[in-house]
Amino acid sequence: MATQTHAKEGPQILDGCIGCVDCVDLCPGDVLAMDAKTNKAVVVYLDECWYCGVCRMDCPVDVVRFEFPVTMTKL
Amino acid sequence: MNVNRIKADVAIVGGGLAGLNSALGAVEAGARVVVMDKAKIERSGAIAGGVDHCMAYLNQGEPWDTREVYLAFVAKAAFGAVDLTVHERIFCDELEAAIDRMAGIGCPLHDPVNGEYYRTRSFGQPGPYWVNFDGKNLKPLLARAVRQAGCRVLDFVTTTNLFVHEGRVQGAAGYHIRDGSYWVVESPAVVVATGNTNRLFETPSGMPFNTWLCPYDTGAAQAMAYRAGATLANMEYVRMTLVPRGFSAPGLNAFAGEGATFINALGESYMTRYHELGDKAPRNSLVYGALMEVREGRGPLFLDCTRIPKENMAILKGTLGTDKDTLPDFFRQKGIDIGVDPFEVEVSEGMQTGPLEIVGSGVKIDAQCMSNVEGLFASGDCADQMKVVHMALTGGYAAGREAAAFAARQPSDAPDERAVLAEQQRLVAPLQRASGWHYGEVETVLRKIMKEYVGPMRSEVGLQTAQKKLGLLREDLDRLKAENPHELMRCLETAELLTVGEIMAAAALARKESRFIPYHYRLDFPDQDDAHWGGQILVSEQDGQISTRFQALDGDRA
Repeated sequence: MATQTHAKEGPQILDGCIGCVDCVDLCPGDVLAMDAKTNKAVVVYLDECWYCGVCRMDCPVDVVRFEFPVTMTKL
Repeated sequence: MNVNRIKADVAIVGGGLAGLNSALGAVEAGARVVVMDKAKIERSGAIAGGVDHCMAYLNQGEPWDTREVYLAFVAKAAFGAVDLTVHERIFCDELEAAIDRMAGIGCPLHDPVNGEYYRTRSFGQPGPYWVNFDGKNLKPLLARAVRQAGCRVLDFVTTTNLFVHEGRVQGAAGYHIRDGSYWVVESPAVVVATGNTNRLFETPSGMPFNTWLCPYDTGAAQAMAYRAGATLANMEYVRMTLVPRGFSAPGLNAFAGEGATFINALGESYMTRYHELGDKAPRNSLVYGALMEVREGRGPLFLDCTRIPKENMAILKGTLGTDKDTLPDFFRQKGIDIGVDPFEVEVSEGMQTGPLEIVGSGVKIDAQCMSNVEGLFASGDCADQMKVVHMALTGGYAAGREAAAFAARQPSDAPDERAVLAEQQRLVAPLQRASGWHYGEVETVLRKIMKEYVGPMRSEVGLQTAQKKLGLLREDLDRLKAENPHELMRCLETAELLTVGEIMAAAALARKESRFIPYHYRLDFPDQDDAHWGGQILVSEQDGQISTRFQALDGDRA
């Protein structure tokens, strides 16, 4: 079930990721991983995201954004 | 297969706020300490992303600001769940040192600029007991203190079981959620500190990880301690809160504390119908009021912040993201400006945790934070007498210190080799199956059963129905399939959730009255009956079955 996602929701890792691994290691739910080819962080378990924002607050180059799904914003 | 072994005096299971305070308590008492956490301790657990409030009385001169008035409040509000002797010992006796410790690690409870405490009142308190502070970086600061103090930290190692022989704990087993390596910590004392249980009840949004508290906290300690022979208490209470519709985020305390008003679809401020304190009522009354208003056809419900004074609104807006970093993003993306329009709220999913901010649910502890299993201590939200930040800081530290004292007094033997290998075999089973269920399929059914039969409106027939269904669902645990160590972690969490669910149903069935309505609301016994039920339902394993009994508590002492 572990699949890399390019969803329009959840944490968005924008261009500029330096591959420092901080967000991958600090996520309390182990939701992210490093993409071996690009050496950038990717979301692999989007369904398990708590939307806690740790990946964003500890990103040293500020390239993480949050997009809430319609399940949350249109309810 | 390889077994990584570490010898220690105290093993800490779970490196959240309580666990790291326990680690400090133990290491400062001279113990060799190992901390095991499924994530990295800098950002793990319920306050991974920050926290903004802590309860305390401060003796600053007001009549309500004393230990005596605080204890009288606790005795009355938490009657039937709180053990006052334990509470006084692990909270009141530890409070001053805990406040100093917070300042010492660089996360003071006072305003670092003017030195004053910013205090607010909500949830039935006799005075403003909430101390608001900037706890955005509390976890990384505490983690640094723990590492600098010499604790050994096993990041990404989730604990799967305790080793117990003849009623004595001997250590804990776990595995690495990325590389799958197997770890055994041999220690005469173990402090479990894995928090409350979330992901157990269906959520309003249908997204199981969209939960008020941490969805990675799944009752590991409660399930492990139960298997190890520990007694659990206060497990019947299903706690809920009010959240912005769509996002099960914390923050209600901040809104209520700054003076927000609940209104129904008719624009009426309705809470005085349900409690004399109105919008400052205890959280369970706020939830009850919401359930009743909707039932009477006066929903949907809203939280009106528009009449909050300008100065307080500035503080509220400025700190909105301290408890939940993404809450301001959510409001923005949903088009909500809390200063302009009331925003819709809903009753959150249920969870296993103490019924109030001042009393817990989980492993029953004595005044030394120890369970009935020798050497097994509990800390934080998985203990029956601890709850949220203020008790993680106080009782959490005490649990570690007492565990260190116990370990120095009573060394234990290493766990039996057969038990070590048997645990390794047990836990990897979902990885070895050729095919089977994804954990999410079983959990979805579990959450529906819990919501429908063990939720806020309960009855004997419903709870017995839940027990039957949960018993059948247990068979499916042996069919779970994991593709990798990460998914194996989730499969083990599913098993923990099911165990906690079964215990909750049994405890709820045993309490034939209602208490902390709607957290334990028996439709067939709708009244509170202090004369017969002023105490705890104790749960333990007897001959492989869940056994319950009632034990009275002394509630008049304060």
